[in-house]
Amino acid sequence: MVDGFFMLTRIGSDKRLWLVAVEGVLVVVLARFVLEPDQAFGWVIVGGYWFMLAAVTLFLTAFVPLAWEKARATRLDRFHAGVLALIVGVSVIWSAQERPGFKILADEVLLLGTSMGMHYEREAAYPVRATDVQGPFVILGSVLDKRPLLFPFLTATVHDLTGYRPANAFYLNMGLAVLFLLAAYAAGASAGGSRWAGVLMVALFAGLPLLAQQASGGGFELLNLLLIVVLGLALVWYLEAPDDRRLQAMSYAALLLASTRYESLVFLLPALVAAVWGWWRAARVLLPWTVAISPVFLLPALVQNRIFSGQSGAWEMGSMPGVTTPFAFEYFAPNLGHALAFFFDFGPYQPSSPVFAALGLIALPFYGLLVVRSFRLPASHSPREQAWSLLAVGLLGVTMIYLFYFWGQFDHPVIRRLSLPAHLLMALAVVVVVGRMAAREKVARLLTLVAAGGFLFHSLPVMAKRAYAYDYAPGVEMEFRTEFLGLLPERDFLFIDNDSVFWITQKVPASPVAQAQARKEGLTYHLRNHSFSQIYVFQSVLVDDQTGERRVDPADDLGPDFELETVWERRVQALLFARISRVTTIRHEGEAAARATEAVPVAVERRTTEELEKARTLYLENWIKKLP
Amino acid sequence: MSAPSETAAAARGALRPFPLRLALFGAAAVTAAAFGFLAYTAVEAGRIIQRFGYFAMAGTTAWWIFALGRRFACVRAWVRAEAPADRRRVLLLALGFTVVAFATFPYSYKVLYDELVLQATAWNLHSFREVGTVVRGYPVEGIFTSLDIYLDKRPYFFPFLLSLFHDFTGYRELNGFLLNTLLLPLVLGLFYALARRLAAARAALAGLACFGASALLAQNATGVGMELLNLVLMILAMLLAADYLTKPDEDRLSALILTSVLLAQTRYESSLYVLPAALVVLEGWRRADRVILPAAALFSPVLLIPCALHNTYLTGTPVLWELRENMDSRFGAQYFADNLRHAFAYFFSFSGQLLNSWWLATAGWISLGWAGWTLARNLRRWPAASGGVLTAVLFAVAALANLMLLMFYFWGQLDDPIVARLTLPFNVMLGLAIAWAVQRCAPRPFGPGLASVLTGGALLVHVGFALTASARHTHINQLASELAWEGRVVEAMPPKNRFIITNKSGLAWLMRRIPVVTVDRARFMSDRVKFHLDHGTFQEVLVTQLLRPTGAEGHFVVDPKDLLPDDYVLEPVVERHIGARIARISRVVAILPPGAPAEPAAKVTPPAAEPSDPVQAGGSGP
Repeated sequence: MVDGFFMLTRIGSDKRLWLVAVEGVLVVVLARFVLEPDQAFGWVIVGGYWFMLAAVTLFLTAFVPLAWEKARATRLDRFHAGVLALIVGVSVIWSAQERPGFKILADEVLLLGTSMGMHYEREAAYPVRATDVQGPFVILGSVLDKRPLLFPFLTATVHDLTGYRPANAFYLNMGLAVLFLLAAYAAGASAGGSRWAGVLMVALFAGLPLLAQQASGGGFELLNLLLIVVLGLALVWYLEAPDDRRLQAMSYAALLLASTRYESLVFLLPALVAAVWGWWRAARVLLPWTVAISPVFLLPALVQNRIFSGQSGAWEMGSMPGVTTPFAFEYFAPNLGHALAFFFDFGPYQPSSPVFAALGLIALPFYGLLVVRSFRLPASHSPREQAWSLLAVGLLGVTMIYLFYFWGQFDHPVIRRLSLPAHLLMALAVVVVVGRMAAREKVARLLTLVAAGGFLFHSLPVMAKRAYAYDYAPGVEMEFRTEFLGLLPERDFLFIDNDSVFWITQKVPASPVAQAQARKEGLTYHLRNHSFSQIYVFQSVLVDDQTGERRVDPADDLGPDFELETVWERRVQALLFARISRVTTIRHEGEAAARATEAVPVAVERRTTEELEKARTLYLENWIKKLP
Repeated sequence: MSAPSETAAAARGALRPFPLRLALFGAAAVTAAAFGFLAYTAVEAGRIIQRFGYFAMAGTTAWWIFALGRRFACVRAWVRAEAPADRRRVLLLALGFTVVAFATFPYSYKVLYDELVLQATAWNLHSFREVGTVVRGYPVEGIFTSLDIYLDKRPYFFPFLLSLFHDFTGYRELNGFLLNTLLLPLVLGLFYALARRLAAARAALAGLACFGASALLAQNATGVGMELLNLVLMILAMLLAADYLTKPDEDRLSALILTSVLLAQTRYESSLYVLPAALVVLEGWRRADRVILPAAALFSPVLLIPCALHNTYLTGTPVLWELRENMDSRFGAQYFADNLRHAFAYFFSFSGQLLNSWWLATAGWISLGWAGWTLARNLRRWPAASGGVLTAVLFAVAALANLMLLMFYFWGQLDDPIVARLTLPFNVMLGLAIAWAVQRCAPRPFGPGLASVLTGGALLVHVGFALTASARHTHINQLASELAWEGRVVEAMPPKNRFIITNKSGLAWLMRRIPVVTVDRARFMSDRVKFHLDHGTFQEVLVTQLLRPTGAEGHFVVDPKDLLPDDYVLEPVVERHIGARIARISRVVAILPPGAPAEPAAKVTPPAAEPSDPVQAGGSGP
C-alpha cells in the first residue's frame, strides 16, 4: 500500500507517461484542429479499415488468451451445461420470434453500406453510386458516415470470410447475441458473487423483447452492449492481478467500445481510472508498447465526431420542431417520463420488460450507495467490486447523456434501443444488491423464477405480436422493399428511391428522387438504351384523413415528366401506403424522349469489329457518366 | 573361410552380371520415343489417344494407387510422429483456408473455356471411355449422344479423375468443383509434410500460412481447372523424391516414378518435372550404390507414350496453339521484358486488386535469394545434402525454369487474371523457401518470434488484401456471367425440348444436355434446323446474340459475328446489359424457305459462312 502511494507520487516523473500524454494531445489536436474537415474525412475513409484491423487484432491477442484461461479454469459441470442450454434456448426463441431485417433506419442500412465499402474497396464509407457494368462491383462514389467503424468493420470481415451478402449484418448480430448472453452470465456471476446471479442476469435479458429485436437487426447496439460487458470483465481481470496483457485487454476493450457508438467514448474515463488504480495496486507503472500506442486508435472516432460539429443535421434536430440545442437540462424531466412510460408499458407496442424495469429500479438506489461506498472506502472492497462500480459509473454517464438529449425519449420507436445500457445498469444493480444479501442464492433463484414468469407471460406474447415493429413505418416499408426484391430473379434494374443506399447494398443501382430529377437526361439515355431491364420508383403515398384522397409524398414525387405505372402497392399504416412503380416514359418539354420497351431497337449498319470495340469504349465512358 | 585379401581379389576378378534391367529400360525408352514421336502423324497420334488413352490412363492410375498404397504405413507413422498440437494447427489452417475459399468464391468457371473443355472431356470419358471433347450432342432414343468430338490439347489426367468421380457418384456438373475443393486441403497438408522435410514444425507452419493464405489458391479450388491436381502431384512427387533419397529402394522409386508420370499428364509444362525426378533417381542409385529399377521404372518410358503422342498431335495441329493474328510461334525473346514487368507488378502489387500475395512474394523472394546464396556457397558439398534439401533444390530449379519459360511466352503476363494461376508451382517454392529460412533463423535471438510474425502477418494480409481481391474477382469474367445468365434464364422457362443457337462455345449447354450449335454452323444449317423444328424434335429454338453500341449514345447493332441469315425470323425474348453490351436471347419464330421475301427487320449480310471448326469450341487459355 505504502509502495503504491509513493508510486503514485512518482507518476509525474515517469517520462513514458508524459510521452503517452503528449501523444494523446497530438491525436486530439490533429483530429479536431489541424486537419481540414474534408482532409480528415478523407484520411479516415482510406485508413479507417486498417485502424480497426490493428485495434481488433491487438484486443484479440490480449483478450482471447485471458478468456481461454478463464474458460479452462471453469469446470464444465451440469450447472454450466444447463446455462449453455439456457443460452442456446433463448437464442433460438429470439430467432424464431424475430424476423432478420433492418430495424432502425437509415442507421442500419448506412452501417451495412460502410461495411460494403470496406469489403470491396477497403474504404470506410458508404456507397452512393456503384455499378457492375464491367463485371466486378465497383463503387463510384462514397460518403463517410458519422457512425463509428467497429460494427461495419466486423460485418466487412464476415463478408470477407463468407462472401458478400446483406444479411451478414443480421447473422453477425445473431452471433453477437449468443456471445452477449455468455458474457452476461460471466458478468452476473462475477458481480453477484454466485452462479445463480449469472443465471438471473441472463434471465432478465432473455425477457427483454428489445434485445431480441436488436439480435436480428443490422445495428450496432448489441455489439455496444457486449463490449460494455467485456470491458467490465476486463476491468475485473486487470484490477485483480494487474499485468501488461490484462492492461492491454482492458485498454483495447475501452477503445473498441469508443469505436462502436458515439457516446461510448465515455467509457474511456473509467478505463483510465482503472489503469491508474491498477498501477497503484501493482506498485509500478505498467505501460507495454501496445498500450502506449493506443491513443492513436481514437483518431477515426474523433474525426468522425467532427461530422456532428459540422452539421446540425447529424444531431437529427430536424426531426423535432423548435429544438435549437441537442443537449439541455430542460429535456431531463420529460425524458424521464418517457423512460418510465417505456419501462412500464404492459401493451404490445413497446418491446420492454416491466419485470426487468421493476427489479432494476428497486435495486438502483441501493446499488448507488454501494458504488459510492466502494469509492470512499476502497480498501474494504475487493478489486472485483471496484471494477463493477467503475463500469456502473460509465453506464450511468451514458444514460445521463441520453436523458439530457433532446430526443432521448425511450418510448420512441427509434430511441428505444438507447435504453440498453440503462437496462445493463439495472441488471448489474439487481445482481450486485442480491449478491449482498445473506440468502443470495435463494433470492437469486427466486428472482430468476420471477424473470422467467415475466418472459413467459409478458415478453413472449409481445415478441410474437411484433406490434412494436409494425408501429414503425420505415421498418415496414423496408420489409416491403425486401419482399419485392426477393420476387425478382435478376438484379438488372435501377431503383429511384430516397433510401437509395438500401438498393446499392443489395447490388442494385439506385438514385434518390432529387438526383433522378436533376439527371433526367441520363435516365432518358438509360431507358432508351435498355441499360436496365426496368426503372422502378419507390414512393410513399399519403392518405388525407378527411377526404381519403391519396397523394404521393412530395419528397418522393418525380414530377410530371416521369410517366409511371404502378407495379405493387401495400398499406403500411392507416394513412400511409408504399408504392412501387415502373417508369414507362420520360418526357422532355412535353414530348416523350424515351419509352420503356422489351427490346432495344437494333440499327442496320455495317461496322468492323475494331470500330465496334472503339465505339464500345466511348459508350462505356458515356454510360458511366450518365448514371444518376 | 578365406582371408580378407583373397575375398577382395575374388570380388574384383568375378564377372559383373549383365545389366539386363538397364538394357531393357534403354530399349523401352528408345521404343517409346520412336512410337510416341516418330511413328505416327499428328492425326494418327490424335486418333490413338482418343481411342486408347482412357485405358492407358486407367492402367497407370491403378498402378500408381497400388504403389502409393505400399507407402501408406509410412504416412501413418509420420502423422503419428507429429505433436498433437502441431497436427491441430495444420488441420485448422488447412480446413480454415478451404472453408474461406469455399465461402468467398462461388462455384463458377474461372478460366473460359479451359474448364468447360475439361468438363466436357470428363463427360465423354465417363460416358464413352473416349478421350475427346464433345462439340455436338443430341438426345437420340432417350440417350444424350455425342455426334462430334475432337481431341483437345490439354493433358487429360484431371478429366480422367473427374470421370472417375462421375462413375462413382453419377454425372453432375458440380462434381468438377467439388473435386477441386477436396484437393485444396490435400495440397495444404502435403505442403506441410514437405516443409517438415526442411524445417521444424513452427517454421513449416509459417511456410504453410504464407503459401496457403492465397486468393489464387481459393480461386482455383472453386473452379474446374487442373491447377490443384497439378500441385498435389508436384508436391507429392517432391515428397516421394525426398523419401526415396533418404532410403533408396524399389517401393519408394515406384511411387516416385508413377507420380511423375501422372504429373507429366496433368499440365503441359509439368513434363519439365520429369527431369528433376530423373536426376533424383540417379542420385538414389549413387546413394544406394546400385541400380534400382523396379517394374514401374522399367516401364516408365512406355507409360509416357500417351504424353508423347499427345505432344505429336499438338505440335502438328497449330490451330490448337491459340496464336494471335500474324503470329507463328508461341515463344519469343520479344515478350521477355514486358512479361517481366508484368511479373513484378503481379508479385508486388499492394492494391488488393490482383490475386497475389505480396507477403508470400516479399518473404519468399528474400528467402529464395538467401537459399540461392547458401546453395552457391555450399555447392561442392551437395553429395552430403539431405534428401529433402536436394529434392527442393532440383524441383525449385525446374519451377524457376518454368517461370522463366513463361516470361518468353506470348501470353505470359502474370497480372492477367487468366495467367496468374501459372505461378502456383513457383509459389510452392516460395513457401518452402520461407520455411527453410525461418528454420535457419531459429537459433538467432529474433528466431523464435519470426515464425509467429510470418504466420500472423500472412493471416492478416490475407484478410486485409487477399479477401478484397477475392470479392473483386468473383464476377470479373463477364463471359462467365453472360453464360450463367443465359443458363438461369433458360432454366426459368417452362419445360420444352429446346435447341440453342449460341454465339459462344456450346459446351456450357452440352454440359446440361441441351443440344446446341454455334451461330457459324447455324448459318448454313437452316434447312436442318427447320426440319427438326417442323417435326417437333425441338419445340423451341433460342438464339443468343450480342448487341454492340455504335457510339457514345448507344444505337445498337447486332455483332456481325452473331448475325443469322435473313431466313431466320427472330423475336427478342429477353435482354441484359452486360459490360457495355447487350446480351439478347431471341426465339426463332420461323425459318423461311429459300427464295421467300425477307422479314422487314432487315439485317446486315453476315460474313461469309464457314463451316465451324470443332477446335474453335476449345480453349482460350494459354
